[in-house]
Parts: sequence; structure tokens; C-alpha cells
Amino acid sequence: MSIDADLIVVQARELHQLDVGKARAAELAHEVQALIDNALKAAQSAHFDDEPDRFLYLLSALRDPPLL
Amino acid sequence: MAADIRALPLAALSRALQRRELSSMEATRACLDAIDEHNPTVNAFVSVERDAALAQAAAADRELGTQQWRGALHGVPLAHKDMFYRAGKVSTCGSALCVDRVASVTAAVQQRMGDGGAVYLGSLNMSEFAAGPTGHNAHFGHCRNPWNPAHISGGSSSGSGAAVAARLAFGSLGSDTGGSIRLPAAMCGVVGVKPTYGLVSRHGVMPRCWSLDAVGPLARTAEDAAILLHAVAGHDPRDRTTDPSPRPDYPALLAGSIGGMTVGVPTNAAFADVDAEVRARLDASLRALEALGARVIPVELPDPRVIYALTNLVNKAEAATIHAKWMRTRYDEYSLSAVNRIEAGFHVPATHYLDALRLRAPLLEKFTQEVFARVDAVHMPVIGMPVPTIEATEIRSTEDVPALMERVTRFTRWVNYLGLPAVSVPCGFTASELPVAYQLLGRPFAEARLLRIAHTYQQGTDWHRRVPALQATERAHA
Repeated sequence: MSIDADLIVVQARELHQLDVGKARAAELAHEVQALIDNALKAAQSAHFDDEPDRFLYLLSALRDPPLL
Repeated sequence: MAADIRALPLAALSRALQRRELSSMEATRACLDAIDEHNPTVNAFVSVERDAALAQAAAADRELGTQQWRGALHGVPLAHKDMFYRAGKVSTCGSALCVDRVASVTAAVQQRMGDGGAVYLGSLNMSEFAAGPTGHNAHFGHCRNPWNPAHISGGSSSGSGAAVAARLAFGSLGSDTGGSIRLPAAMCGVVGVKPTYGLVSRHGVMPRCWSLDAVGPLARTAEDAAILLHAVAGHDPRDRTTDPSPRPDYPALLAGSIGGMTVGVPTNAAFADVDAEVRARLDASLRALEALGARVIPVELPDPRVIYALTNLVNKAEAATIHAKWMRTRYDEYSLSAVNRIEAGFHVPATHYLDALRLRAPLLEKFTQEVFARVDAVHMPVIGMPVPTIEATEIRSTEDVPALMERVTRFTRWVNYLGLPAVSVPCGFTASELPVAYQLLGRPFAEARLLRIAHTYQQGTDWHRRVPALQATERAHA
């Protein structure tokens, strides 16, 4: 898979009402590609969680024991 | 006398004010005079509120004269990153877009500082919209490192690090989305606390990324940081992510032993790429901690590069959402640097963003179980290279940005995804007299433990007592 600079130009214009030049679009395509590739890689090695607010619950549940 | 007052840490000034050995007016005047003399060199302040600060100091002294003591910050001159709103006043957020934007609310942390009797000296420089780890700012001028003005202060809480290190204020609040407290603290040679997600209210604070933002102190010592954290931590019904548990008494908990505590040193390949001079200072700090009673062992962390990638994705998507309206209507008013940090987020699919959030709880659980079952704290670099120059970190091309960000934030950024607390502690200097620091990472809400380790380290070392030899200069570096 590779993200095309033209896609970035069109997406920016049509979805976000932003103007992006061709050269900048190529850089953004590269950056977004890396973001997504890395995220997909990360997702392969972990399981997803669908419980709402579990992150906040875990922060509280895993808290450091009181210091003496 | 003024220089003597400024040499005091916040804790010592606070005790002197309470005993009426010094007045808030004397301390405030000393800071204002120092700001006049040194701010042209470091560019830490974007605004100074001289008359209001002196009026607050006079009021603090009047109360102290009638035995009304509001707490450890009563009469203490402070200054904060320019993104904590005060109703009726402008917070620039480091951007030309906000120079006329008057806040309609007062940040919970400003309120708590004010209620505690602190004096507000003025507002501090920062990276535009807290988006940048170096302290460059195209609108207000770059903040400069007090140890050497040709070098970066670190960011995004650049003014906080520089003002505290230069003894222009006795402490400061900053914000940390991926290292923005720890990096300037490390580069300027002061202590920085990135608290657990949800320990400190973000009500009335400019959002950078909702899922990653944390507000915390930068201070000269761990004791000073404990006092400041104690003043602002705790539940706030206006920020529903804040933890409802009672806050520990951070200053009181500093005094115990670290004997029996285990400090882990990461063995992952990701930590191998550290400059030799920095590594030598980190190793020496580990030996000092061992000598003070801690047990030091190696520990393998779940791969931080994986967590870094997810952090990046969340960061980009949320920043783009926050700035979407202004990016559409006021694009040209953003600096090149800020645009570059935000723009990619418009092109991240919502499904990938949501997946990154769905992985957060499992990764926190895995990290905590695998690491904090074995150690009380992880000891690691804040930045793996000596503090770079402003020139070397200037963004000349949009292509430079991702590599520069990775180089500066690789040890700090992923911590925010996990929501864990981390404390940056100065641990020496390079041959060119620039500060080096380590950070301590702990379980959720382990701030008291991390501050005790840092405080104990500072009882056995004197790096935090060194002061940059700032010369009064004309603005030669502007």
C-alpha cells in the first residue's frame, strides 16, 4: 500500500477545505504512510480493548502503593 | 541582598516568608530586577506584570503581618507557561493567532496558585501551541538556554525551564504532551514533573492533545517541585479525567528512605543510542543512587518504539482536530514549524486513531505488569545527546521535522501514551557546561515515590545547586 500525494491534495481540499501544494502533499503522504504503517505494526502485537474508560480505570487500579 | 534572595530555593524562601525574615515585596522586586537584567538574553518572559506582581506581593505581606498564612506558596513569585488561562487576560499560547484573544475562564491551576497566595510575575515563552520540543518560536523569538544562549532551552515549556534555571522565578508550571516539561527541565538543569494523566486539572488550559496532555511543575529542586505539585494536584469536577482520590502530601513524603527501592535500567536496543558523554553522567547517577541505598537492576521494557508510533498517531489526529477551524481560516498566521507538527493529522483515518486509543489500556496493563512488578522506578535518559544549538535544530525544510522530533523526543514521548508519571532530574554537565539529566518513570500516581528518589539523590549530589553565570547583555542573540 502506498498513499499517493494526489490523494492528500484531494482529501485536504474536499474533506478539510485546506489547500496543499503538490510538493508538501508528497511529504505528507510519506509522513502519514509511516504513521499508519507503524500503527498497523503495533496493532499486530497487542489485543484491543473495547471497554469504555478502561484506561482511566486502570490508571487508578494500578496505582503505586502508599509510601511509608 | 537581591542576589541572595534569588539564590534561595522556593522551599527556603517560603520558610523565610512565613517567619517574616524576608518579605514577598523583597523577593518579587529581586525577580523583577533580574528579569529586566537577564530576560533580553534568555527571552523566557513574553510579558511581565510588574505593577500587578508588586500589588500581589504587598497584599501577601499584609496578610503575613496579621498571621494569615495561606500555605507554602504564600508570597512566592512564580511565572507560568503562557497557556494557563486567566479570565479577562490574554494567553498567547506562543502564537500570533492568540495575541488579542482574551480568556473567558481561569485555569484551575491558576486559581489554586492564586488562592495559595502566589505572586504572578508574568507569562512565559513557549513553542507555538506547545507544538515543538526545542523552544524555537517564530513569533516571540526563540527562548535561549541560560547555560549558553546559543543553545536551545528545550520545549515546549521553554520559558519555564529557562526562567527557573536563570533564577528569574522561584518555580513554574508547564505542560507535557510528549516531553514538554521534562525536556526543558533537563536542558536547563532543573527538576520537571510530568504527572500521571488525571492528577492535575486541565480545566482552562490550552489543549494540545486531550489524551496526552499533563500539567506539572518545573523547579530548582525536587523539594520545590513537591511543593508546587501539592498546590495544584487533586480532583477537579470541571476536568472529568481527574482522579477523585485524596492527593498525597508530597513535601511530607520526601523525607523517607529509598533503601530497599529497586531502580530499573532499560536493556532495550532503543536505549543504546546515547551519546558517550551523556551516558557517563547517567551511569554516575546510577552509582550515586546505589550508594544512597537503591538497588539497581536491568529491566527489559515492552518495546517503546511501538508505543512511540501509537503516541505519534494520537498526537497528530487530536492536534489537527483542535486546530482545524483556524487551519482553514488563518493558516498563514501559523509558523512553518507549528503547521508541520499538526498538518499530517488531517490525513490519519479515524479507524487508525480509534485503534490507537483501544490499545492504550492493554499496553498500560502490560507495561505495568512486566516492569513495575520488578522495579519501583525506571531510570532512563531524557534526551540522548548533549543539548544542541539553536542553529542545528532550526527547521529549514518541512522534510526535517519528523527526524528532528524523533531524535529529541524518543525517550519522552511514549510515556504520555501510557499516562505514567516521570520526573526529570539534573545529573551533571557535559564538557561544554550544558546540563544532563535522567528521568525516573513510575507506576500510575507514583509521584511521591519518584520525588523521594530525586530528593534523596539531591541530598547526596550538588548539581542542582549550580547556577548559570548569566551576564547582563544587550539582546545580541535576537
